[in-house]
Amino acid sequence: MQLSEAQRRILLAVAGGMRLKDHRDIEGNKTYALHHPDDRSEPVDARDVEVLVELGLISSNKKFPSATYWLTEQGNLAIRALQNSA
Amino acid sequence: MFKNLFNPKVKPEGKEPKRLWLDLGDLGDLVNPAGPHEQWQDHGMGLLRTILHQNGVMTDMFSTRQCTSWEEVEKRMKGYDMLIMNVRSYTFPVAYRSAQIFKKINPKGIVLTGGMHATVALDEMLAVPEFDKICQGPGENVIVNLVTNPDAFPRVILGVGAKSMADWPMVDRTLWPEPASKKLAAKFNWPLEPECGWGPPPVATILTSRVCPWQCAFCNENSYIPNMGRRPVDMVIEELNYLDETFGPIGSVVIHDSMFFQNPSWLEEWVDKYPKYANKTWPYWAAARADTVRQWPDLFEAVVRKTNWSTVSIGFESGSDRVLKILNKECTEEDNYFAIDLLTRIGDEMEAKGQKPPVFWSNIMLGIPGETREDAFKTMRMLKYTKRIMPSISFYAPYPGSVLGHQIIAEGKSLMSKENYHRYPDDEKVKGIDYQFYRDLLSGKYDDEINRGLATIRQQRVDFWDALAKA
Repeated sequence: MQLSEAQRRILLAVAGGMRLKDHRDIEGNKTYALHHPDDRSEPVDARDVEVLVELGLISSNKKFPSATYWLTEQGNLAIRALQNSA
Repeated sequence: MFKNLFNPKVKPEGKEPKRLWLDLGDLGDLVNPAGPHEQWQDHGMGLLRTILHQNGVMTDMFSTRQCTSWEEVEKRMKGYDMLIMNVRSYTFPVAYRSAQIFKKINPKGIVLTGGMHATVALDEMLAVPEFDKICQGPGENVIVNLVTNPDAFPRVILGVGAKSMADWPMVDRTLWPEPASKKLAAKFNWPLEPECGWGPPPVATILTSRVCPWQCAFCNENSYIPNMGRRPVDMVIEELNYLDETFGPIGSVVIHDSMFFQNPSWLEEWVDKYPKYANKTWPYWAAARADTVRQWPDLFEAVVRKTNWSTVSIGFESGSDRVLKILNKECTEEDNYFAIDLLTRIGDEMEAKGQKPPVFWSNIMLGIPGETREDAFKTMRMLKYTKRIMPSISFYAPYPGSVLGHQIIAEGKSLMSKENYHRYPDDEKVKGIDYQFYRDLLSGKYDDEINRGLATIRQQRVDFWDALAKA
């Protein structure tokens, strides 16, 4: 499975305890962001999130207007492979 | 039938007022949605507009979800005398903004509101001066008079519902908003609905019952909406066949009931008639409770096997008896495991015959006040134990209108406020909860601890079913 650097980074960040969330604001803007434990957040590309979902590596809690994503079993396996190859 | 229940006031002489029904949701959700569930259609709006139109009270309609900017919303609102909105808690900010815009461009216009938020959070609705009329509770037996003669009503109106869903007309789904981009329209199947991962498209969503009669501490609907008679099985099948023939072919069905697996005599009739009289035994999503599955296991098995109940939604909420008691769920760990084992066995047998096994869709809550780490491990263990499950995990949110929500708010422990709780972008909703622990839990840091107890549970479950079989 070929993952981009940005996609690998998202996986590792979620495995490290950061929260990946989406959010549609009142103006209609849809954003994806990784949230740090201290509540800082950094935006991530929607397409990268889409790819990880399509590959079955992450899944969301299907809530709206704000959903949280987490690693699937397959995602955990991918993380282990990434960590072993590092 | 419904048409004769109403006696609309005599229409005012001269021109009929221009009425706009505004469907609410986030801007862009029917243009370029990010997920499937924000594309659901509003059955409340569909029902009430159907009743209005059958009584000769016409409304225009568009959706904020069809627009990508507030300027577009403003442009489309111009020239109307009346704005009607069905307000839910998550659409309250959109309703508020829409009402402000409406009044700005139509200063003599009147704004009629109703919906669940009017019922559970009246104080917030009252605080919006642009909301001229606020209807609480069900609206089907008051909507015609209210829309035709709003001046005859006080600002806050207690709605009147039908005694039975048998009295409801079939919703005219062409009164629902259409997808607003070519890309979305191509896969939406309007006026049926798009795929959401539970079954093949096109999807027909339907209601067979209204209001869950249980009183869970985190929920609120039974406190506000009176129970009512269930829609007869024949009417449900008739509607599905009509949709299939008129707009189909239907791929799958979503039964939106808060609680489908209740009322055994209705379910027995469903088992008998759905496979016989529906054009096809479409697979469907519907909700149950673990305790009712344990109470009527044979009936549950019959409904799953004979009616193609392919996605069984159960709000397990927690894998710990302590927490289930806090939530007043009236289900136990044993009820949850019983339901899991039963559906797993049914699924294994179906799979062995080459059939698609049914799966659970399950709401799970973490971060509940009073929950210990061991309680949370038990919940995660229950999830890992379950063979076929689509979990929907979220942190507990103290919504007003629910018993536990009221308590947490009164104790000053809620981190949510009326300014943000409708679209709370963060996970931390209650003071004193160790959210870092939960984030670590979800990222797999405690998997060894969770896995350690799994083998014991598996053995206990084998012993339980062996003992049950021998008994």
